[in-house]
Amino acid sequence: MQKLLTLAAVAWLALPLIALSGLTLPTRADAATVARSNSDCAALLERWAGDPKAAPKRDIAACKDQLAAAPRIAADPAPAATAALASTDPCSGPNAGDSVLCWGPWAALAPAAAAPLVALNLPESPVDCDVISELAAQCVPKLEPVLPIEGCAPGTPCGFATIVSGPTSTGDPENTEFGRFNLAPDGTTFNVSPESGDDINSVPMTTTVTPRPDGYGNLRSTGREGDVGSRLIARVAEDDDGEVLLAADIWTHGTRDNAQSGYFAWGTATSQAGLNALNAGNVTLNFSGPMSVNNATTGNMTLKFGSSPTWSGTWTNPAYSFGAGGVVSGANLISQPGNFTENVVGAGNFVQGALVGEAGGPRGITHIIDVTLAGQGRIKDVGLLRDVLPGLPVGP
Amino acid sequence: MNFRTLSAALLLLTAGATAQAASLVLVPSASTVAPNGSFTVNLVLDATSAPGLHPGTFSGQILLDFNKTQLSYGGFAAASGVTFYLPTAVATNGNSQTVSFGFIKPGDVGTVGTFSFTALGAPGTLATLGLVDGDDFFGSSFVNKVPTDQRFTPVITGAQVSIVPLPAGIWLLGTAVGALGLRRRFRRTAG
Repeated sequence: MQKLLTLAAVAWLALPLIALSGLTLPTRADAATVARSNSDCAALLERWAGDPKAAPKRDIAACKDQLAAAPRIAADPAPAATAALASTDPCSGPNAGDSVLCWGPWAALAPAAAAPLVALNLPESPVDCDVISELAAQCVPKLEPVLPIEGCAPGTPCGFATIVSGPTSTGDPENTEFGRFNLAPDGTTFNVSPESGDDINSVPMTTTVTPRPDGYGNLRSTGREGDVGSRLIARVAEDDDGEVLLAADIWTHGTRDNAQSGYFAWGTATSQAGLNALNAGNVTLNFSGPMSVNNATTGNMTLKFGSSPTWSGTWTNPAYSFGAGGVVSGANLISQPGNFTENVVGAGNFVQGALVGEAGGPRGITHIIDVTLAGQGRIKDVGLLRDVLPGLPVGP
Repeated sequence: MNFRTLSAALLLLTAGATAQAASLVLVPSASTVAPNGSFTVNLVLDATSAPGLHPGTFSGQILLDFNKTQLSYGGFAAASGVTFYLPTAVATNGNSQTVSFGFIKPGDVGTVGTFSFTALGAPGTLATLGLVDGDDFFGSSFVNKVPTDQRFTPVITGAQVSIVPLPAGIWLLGTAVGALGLRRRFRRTAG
């Protein structure tokens, strides 16, 4: 008895819904079986234009299809029914794109986020348009690598330095900054250009150079102007006229209470003619030497010149070792992220340097390294590596 | 108890660190000298704990000062292998006299060179030989140059020399020797 009462109640509640649906909206079976006339469709679409909820989407779509499929008058591309559709369908008019009720006016689906559909067809090496001007149509602008520190133009003074607060030259890598370093060929002044902040300009200094057994000279330069002093303690390679060609090690500048200091490596970047000769001859050069901040670290670098000059290098310390490689652009060297050994971790690692000196004279690599090694932490250093001539011992 | 243990540990650490620090010391040939007597003072470097490769080559600038009314400077002789990047310079300011130079010395431990002096002061004078870094504007001028220049700061120690009268025994001995000599001469003359 109770079940019967429940069923009756449910039926009574459902009755208005059934009646309503039967009066206004046909079921899916109805839509499929009950065809509207074109005029009915036009009227329905007109109603739908004023009230988008006046009919289900499938009915509207069916009417659109029906009217669109209606026989056209050959001479008139816009028969009455189609014209009616255009005038009543808010998504068919010229302002359809502005309607919030319509899809946007995209001509095609935008591709989903993914790898590029077409690989970039960049040349393996940058092409110098000037060199192949006759092939201008195929010329690809030269791709200059991004250098963390300002690079060196061929034939110009080229040095790098670490910068710390205080006179001790060494500090926490996190508080060690890099900069460009420049030295007067007579050793009497120097300049440090930090990544940020003002330049550090030495006061004029007096210099002494004494010989040392490894071919370098010992340079001491000291100057004082009032409360400000400057000092260099460096290894130098000089020419016959006593001009410094290569130099490396300690710089200090400031007052007794407020000094800055660091290590440096300096030379004159190889000239364009020298670089051209190296590239034309597909020359391979090897360099080796101790770093300056941590001189227990020995750097070895190989530069392979040619149409696509590259370099590779290793830095070995009693506590660690790592490798890097990259491209040579002009006189500049810069590492590529994919060429570090696996123990170089994290982001922002780089090795930057420059080839300094000319063939027949003292030649070297001035460079800086900023790497984070697994188990070692961050390492910042600067070094002057000397060319390794076949059959000759390597001097520090 | 804990404080004592901590203090003792700190003292030991300090003592250990001091013992391992590089040093530059003056070592006189004698602690006492007679008036007008000559003596020498060695400048000795121990850089075994300095950074860099060992044996290294060490460079630095020194300044020695003393009272010229007590001591007369006779010169500085560099040890074998030691060279100068700054030549020896002597300067006087009132009674104070200074000797300075910059040296380069191969080897971790050894004598840089030897100073020569003559005592001028009256008996009872304590002559002080002060030794400092000759270019301490930036803290230290000392570096190990192998394989690259690396700074270090040695503990620098001067010296003192007492000027004392000759002991009474020396006078007696001298008198006796003189008397004997006179006696021998007198006998020859008499004979």
